[in-house]
Amino acid sequence: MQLKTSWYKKEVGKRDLRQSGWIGVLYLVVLIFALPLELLMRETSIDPTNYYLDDTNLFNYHPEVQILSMFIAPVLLGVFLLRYLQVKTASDFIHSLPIKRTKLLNHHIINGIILLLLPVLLTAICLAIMDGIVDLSNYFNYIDLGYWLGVTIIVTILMFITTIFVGVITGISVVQGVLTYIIILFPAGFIFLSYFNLDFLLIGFAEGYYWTFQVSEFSPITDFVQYYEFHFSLLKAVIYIGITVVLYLLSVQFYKRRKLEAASQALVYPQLRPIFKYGVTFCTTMLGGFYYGETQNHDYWVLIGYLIGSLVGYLLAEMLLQKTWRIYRSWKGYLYYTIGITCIFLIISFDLTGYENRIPEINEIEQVYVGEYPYQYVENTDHEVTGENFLDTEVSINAARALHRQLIDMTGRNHFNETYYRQMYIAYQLKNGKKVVREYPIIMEEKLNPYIEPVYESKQYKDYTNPVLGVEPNRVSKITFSADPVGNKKVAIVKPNEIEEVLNQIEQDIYDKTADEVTNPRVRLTSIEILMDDNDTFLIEYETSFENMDNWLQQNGYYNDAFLVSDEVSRIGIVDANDENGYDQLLHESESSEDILFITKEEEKKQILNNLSRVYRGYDENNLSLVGLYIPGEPEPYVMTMEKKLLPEFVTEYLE
Amino acid sequence: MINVTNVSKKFESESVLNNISLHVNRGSIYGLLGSNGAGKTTLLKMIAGIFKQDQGSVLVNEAIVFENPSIKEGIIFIPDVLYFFSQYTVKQMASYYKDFYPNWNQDRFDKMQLILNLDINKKIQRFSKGMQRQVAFWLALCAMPQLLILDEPFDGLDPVIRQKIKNLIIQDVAEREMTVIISSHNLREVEDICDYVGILHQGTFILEKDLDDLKSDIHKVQLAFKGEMPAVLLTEVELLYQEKRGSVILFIVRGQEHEIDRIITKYKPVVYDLLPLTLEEIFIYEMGDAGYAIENILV
Repeated sequence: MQLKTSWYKKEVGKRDLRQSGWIGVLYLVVLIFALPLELLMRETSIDPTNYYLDDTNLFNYHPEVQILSMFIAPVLLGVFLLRYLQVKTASDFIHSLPIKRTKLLNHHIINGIILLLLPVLLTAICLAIMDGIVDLSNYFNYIDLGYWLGVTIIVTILMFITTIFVGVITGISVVQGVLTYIIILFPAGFIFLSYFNLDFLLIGFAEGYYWTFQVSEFSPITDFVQYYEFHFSLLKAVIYIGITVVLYLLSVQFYKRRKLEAASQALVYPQLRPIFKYGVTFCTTMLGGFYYGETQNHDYWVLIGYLIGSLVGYLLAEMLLQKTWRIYRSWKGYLYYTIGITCIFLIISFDLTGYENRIPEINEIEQVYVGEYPYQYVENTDHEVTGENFLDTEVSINAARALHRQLIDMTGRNHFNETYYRQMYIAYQLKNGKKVVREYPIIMEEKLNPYIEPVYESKQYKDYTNPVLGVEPNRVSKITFSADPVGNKKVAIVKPNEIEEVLNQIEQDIYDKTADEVTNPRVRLTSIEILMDDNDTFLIEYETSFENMDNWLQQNGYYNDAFLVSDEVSRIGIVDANDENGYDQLLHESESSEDILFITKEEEKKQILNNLSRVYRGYDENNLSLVGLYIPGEPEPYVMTMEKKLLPEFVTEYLE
Repeated sequence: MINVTNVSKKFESESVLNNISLHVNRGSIYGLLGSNGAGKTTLLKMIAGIFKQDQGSVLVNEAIVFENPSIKEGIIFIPDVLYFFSQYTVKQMASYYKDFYPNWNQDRFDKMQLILNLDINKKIQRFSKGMQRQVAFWLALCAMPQLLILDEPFDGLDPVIRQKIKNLIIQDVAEREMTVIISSHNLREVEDICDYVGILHQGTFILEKDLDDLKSDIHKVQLAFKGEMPAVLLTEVELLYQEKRGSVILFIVRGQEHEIDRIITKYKPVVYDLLPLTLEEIFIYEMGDAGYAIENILV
């Protein structure tokens, strides 16, 4: 008989199909519903134009359904296919059969992969056939289909093999399922928690800088959950396939050595138990610290979080491993853990490695970035934004080091929460090629200002924080001043000589900005758009400090066209900004009350408009006023906030 | 057929088998006796190639069993708790066996159906416990194993089915020299079919014997003498146990029947009976000799 010589045991296949085939069928149904049916529905809809998506990516159709099924189906399948390992009687029976473990596992893996591939392939074939009958090129082309097919297959098989691997080291199906997800989420979760906790333990830890590396990409689940910005690169495919292969090889090795008597134990390999137990405890410790740190923002709450997290994690792990609630005899391990972790945390926070106080010596430093935006630093290191992307003169480097020293001295352990403070980044690039990146909260700005000033007022700082300074005049095709946010009042500069002059004024104005103007820019209503010859644009807000620009506009007769002037505004309403209902609402409500001051006199309007400026951040509402500009022809006033101290006296007197 | 040499096995840190050796000849039926938790099942699973020993070697037909499909093709293990795939009928289960055991005998399968009278299209899990046991033996015997390993096979079966199954086994042993190893915690259950027994207690063998030897080697003697028993008699026979009931003296002695006969008749007792012992009695006296409380082991 031919079967006798064949490698493949068809009865194993039949059995797998009978036991787990429904998962494949269900997966197929879900995919058919999410893609071919959905596209058909859109195509036959009365108003098909409504349904087109900009991007012809097939993951955009029912992404939740696709992602859920992609992460559930293979895990479910892996759990069911390896069910025989976790049930003692089944395990004994199967392993008494004359077949090698490797071969048996390969059978199940092949069967599982077939069960996962068939639905995906059938869906793809279905789409291809549909495309042949009704033209679906509005929804996808063959490259999209190939991309969808490739990504789906690679990810489902990675999930499946991970489940198999976990199945081989565990002896309980539920644990197999749960542990699979934990392992899949682990890299991203661990990095995420480590960042937060290091940020707490180490003053100066540049959490924000590390976030610029996509942490979510370290786990397929978190990666896919952000599907709208999800991109599956070739590198990712290679890594996923690599991990799949490694996990497969490990599965085979672990299965060969698996002790079958350990079925129904949470972890089959006793050696893995302490790793699991203390691993779980460590992660929940960090999770507890993270949770209470984010919600309570106080260092003792972080410590309470550590205590609660570690206790919960330890108890859970013990209960799972011992399969009982009654674990009161295992407190010793927790004691050792607590001692160990306290030592580690103390070593980190006592800064035995010198991390917190490390300021590189001047002769070690090649260049420094100082600024508030980690992305800016990353971009500056990645490509040339302007001629100079860093501080590299001795004076400016020393200024950065002095600022760094001051920041170290001012920062306490309580200032770890990102949401409460602005952050200052200092990133040294050393001559030996290494980097030292630090992040500090800006707590007392007044005390810090003397240190910030020399940096913020330096030419180099302005160069790398203002990309517009690198713009070459001959590549600019148009500069537009948009005078107001509601109307269409504009000035367009197109003459090459004028373009060059405008750029020179902007450059000069930026270089002239004081440190205070850098940190608290006051912005007028006018914005400047620089259109490049490649259709790239730079958008700059017109700041009150742009005196050279003001003069140039006046000299060349553009000023009145570049700004909102008094006769274009019917009246101006000013009221205290002290409500949380939203400013538009507040102004609307105050219109009929005594609180509001309406200005209608030309001279007074002019006075207000010339001083009009917005502030962005860090302002106490008590210092702000709400200004409403009533422009004829506009149904609603344009509302903005303005510092009280910049308002003319007659206004502030009235408001008091 | 089976050669187990110096095998030890631990479950985590708990020792289950401790330096065990066992030898079973082709065509014999070996009874593995012992109380619950003695390590019988573990030993059987190692012989069946399911568990791997920590130390020592387990050979069947001079080859290592573990992960050796060509040897395992000739071995069937029937566990104490039977396992069949859920929703599987006898027919489906049979074709599963057929796929794995190259010596599968379809003729025999069909013939045995007539004897057992079970519906092959019925789901096995719907059968009663006794019927399921029969199905297990049915499938096992049709795979034509050279070695049949049975873990507590008669547990909870009624006497009719028990006898039916015993007959099936004995038939195969007689016809094609199948080797059988049967575990039980009850000596009486296996004494009629085993020709060799071993008693496992707390992970070690406390006894291993050929039953024929045992039975011909130990005897119960009832004696009565006119007057006192000649004391010299006690030195001439190998006495395991003695008891006096009135004038009747009861001896348990070791030795060949004709030898004992010759010695005792020399002293001309008025009453003389030489009786065979039940296996249980033999064990109790044998082990009592070695100082073990064997009664507890044999139920």
